[in-house]
Amino acid sequence: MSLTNKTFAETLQVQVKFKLHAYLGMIVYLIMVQIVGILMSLMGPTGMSSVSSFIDINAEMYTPTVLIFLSNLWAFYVGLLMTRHDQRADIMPFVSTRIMSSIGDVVVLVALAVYAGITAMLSNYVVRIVILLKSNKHMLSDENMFSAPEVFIENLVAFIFFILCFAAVGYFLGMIAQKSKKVLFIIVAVFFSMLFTSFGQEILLGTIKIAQFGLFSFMGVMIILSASCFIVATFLAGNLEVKG
Amino acid sequence: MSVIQCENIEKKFRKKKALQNITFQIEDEKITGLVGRNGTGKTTLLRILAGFTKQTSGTVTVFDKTPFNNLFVSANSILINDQMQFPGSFNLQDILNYATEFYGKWDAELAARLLQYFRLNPQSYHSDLSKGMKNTFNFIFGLATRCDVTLFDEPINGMDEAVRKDVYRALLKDYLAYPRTIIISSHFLDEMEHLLEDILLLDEGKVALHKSLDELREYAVGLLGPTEAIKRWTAGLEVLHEKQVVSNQMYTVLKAQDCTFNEQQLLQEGIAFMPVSANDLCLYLTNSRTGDIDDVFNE
Amino acid sequence: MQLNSDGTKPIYVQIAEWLENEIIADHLKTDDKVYSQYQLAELFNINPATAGKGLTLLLEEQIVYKKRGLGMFVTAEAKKMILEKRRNERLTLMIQEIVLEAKRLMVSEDELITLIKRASSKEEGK
Repeated sequence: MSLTNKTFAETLQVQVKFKLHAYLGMIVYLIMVQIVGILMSLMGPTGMSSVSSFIDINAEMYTPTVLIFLSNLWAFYVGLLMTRHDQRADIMPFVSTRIMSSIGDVVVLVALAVYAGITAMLSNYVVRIVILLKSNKHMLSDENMFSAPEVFIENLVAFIFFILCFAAVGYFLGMIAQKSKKVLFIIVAVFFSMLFTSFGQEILLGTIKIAQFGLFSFMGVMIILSASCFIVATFLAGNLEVKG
Repeated sequence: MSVIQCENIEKKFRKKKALQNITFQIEDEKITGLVGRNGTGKTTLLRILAGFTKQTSGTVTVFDKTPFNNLFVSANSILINDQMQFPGSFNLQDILNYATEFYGKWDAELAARLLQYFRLNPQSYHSDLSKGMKNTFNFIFGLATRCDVTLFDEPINGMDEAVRKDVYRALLKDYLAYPRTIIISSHFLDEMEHLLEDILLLDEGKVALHKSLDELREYAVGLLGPTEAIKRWTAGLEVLHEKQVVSNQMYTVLKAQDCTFNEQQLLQEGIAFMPVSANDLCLYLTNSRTGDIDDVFNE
Repeated sequence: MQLNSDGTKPIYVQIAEWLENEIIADHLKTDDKVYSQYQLAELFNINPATAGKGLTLLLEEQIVYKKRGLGMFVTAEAKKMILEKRRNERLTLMIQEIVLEAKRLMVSEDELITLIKRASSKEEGK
């Protein structure tokens, strides 16, 4: 008897490749979601106008709100989907442990979030260019990647972490649901009822305040939130049995 | 050396006991048949051995390690069943390609040749295959991993007879070339008993019997003859099975070790000795003691 | 190669008998190497342990002998021993059964002997 003895890292590497391949189809959904986002952005820019007697100023602001929102929704869905029993069972014919499978999921979610962040950013530029072309308006401020690369990078990183955070929350809630539907209900109920207490609102506002402090504090909040979701989910998955 | 050791394992689902008091050992490089009626815990036991699920109490070791959440056990064992699934976006070839990377001993050539022989198109998708084809593919997958502990749970369900025959032959040939520990659960004991070395019989979540097949074949004796004479001869002995054949003739199965009477004398009284096949014996040992189907119809 | 799997005779006994037949038929002669348990397993489509048990049976009866690391070989007295054994055991048993069956069918001893003679002359005529 000569037994195979591969290290954790070796197997994880294969598993990440396997999962990336398996979830490649999610990219198609992302593209669809972002096209919808582009169309919605084109239809209704948020704007404000002020009219004075001499000049008529019509200022419109283009924010990537819709795009980000839809990308986040997509990420949340992917995170949730991964925890489903039939998805988790896909690795069972191969070599894995529950912890490794979860770590693999996290790596794949990070990769997908990076991809989604980049495409969301680029879609945002598409929106701007189209609007610019179809009207004779002027851009007041246009930090593009050439004129202001640092702003571009900052926005990109913020996008990515924001999207990742949603994926993490989806993954976390999905894993809770696998463990017990009741617990999921309690967590969601507690979260929303917290919003109505002054204490809960303080925490939420505080978090938002910290997040708005700058890129690094925003990233910090996102990382802490995502990491704690992933860690708890991985811990839960460690004891989760794959039902037949 | 024992590759698999189970010590007093118990598994509960909610309040119901699926397995209890399971203690056995399986030695290296043996083919063991796991048999028993429906719902006696065969699947649960295999899932515990593969580390898919955790026993409620007791200890299980595979390669001297606890299988649940163990990478080493996962890398050296495989459980094949008909619930096996693969990512929907993978065709059969993709699955085989990843198997090469995951399993150290994977035999890609064997897999390719078996796929071709059983006319499975590598470009087709697992979820599009018929039940029999799916199980054929799963079987090929299990065989080609060459894992030192290979567990098959009802591998031949849905296969036609010709395929089943080929599958048994493939299993034996590959086993002869690469001996390993194999456990197969199946309802087709008659068809595959020639492949097996040992039998592990479960009954209502317990081990009813764990013996070599050769011992099992000589474990019991059937007596057929006049009811009165058989009753007289077998008084006080443990009866494994009995059945009234016609009004004054009956068939009784006894343990061979209890049959110490003179064969000639019984023959004179019109009692015939009959061998009891392993399959029948397993049925007799696990039958409910409340009679058989005929009793339902005989009021 | 077909084995009788109805359970009347254990498979390893059938393997041993098949090997004995090979020896009687001079397909295997003195000091010839006997099939290994794996070859037998492959040939008869059976578990090698069962085949091994058949070989052990012959080993115990000294019909074959073992050379460490090389396998099993036919002993010099093998054929003689098999023939003797079969005469003693099988033939006696079969005759016993025939006599019993004849009794049931009310065939007299003389009639039985005539039947045997007829069968034997038929076989010679072949």
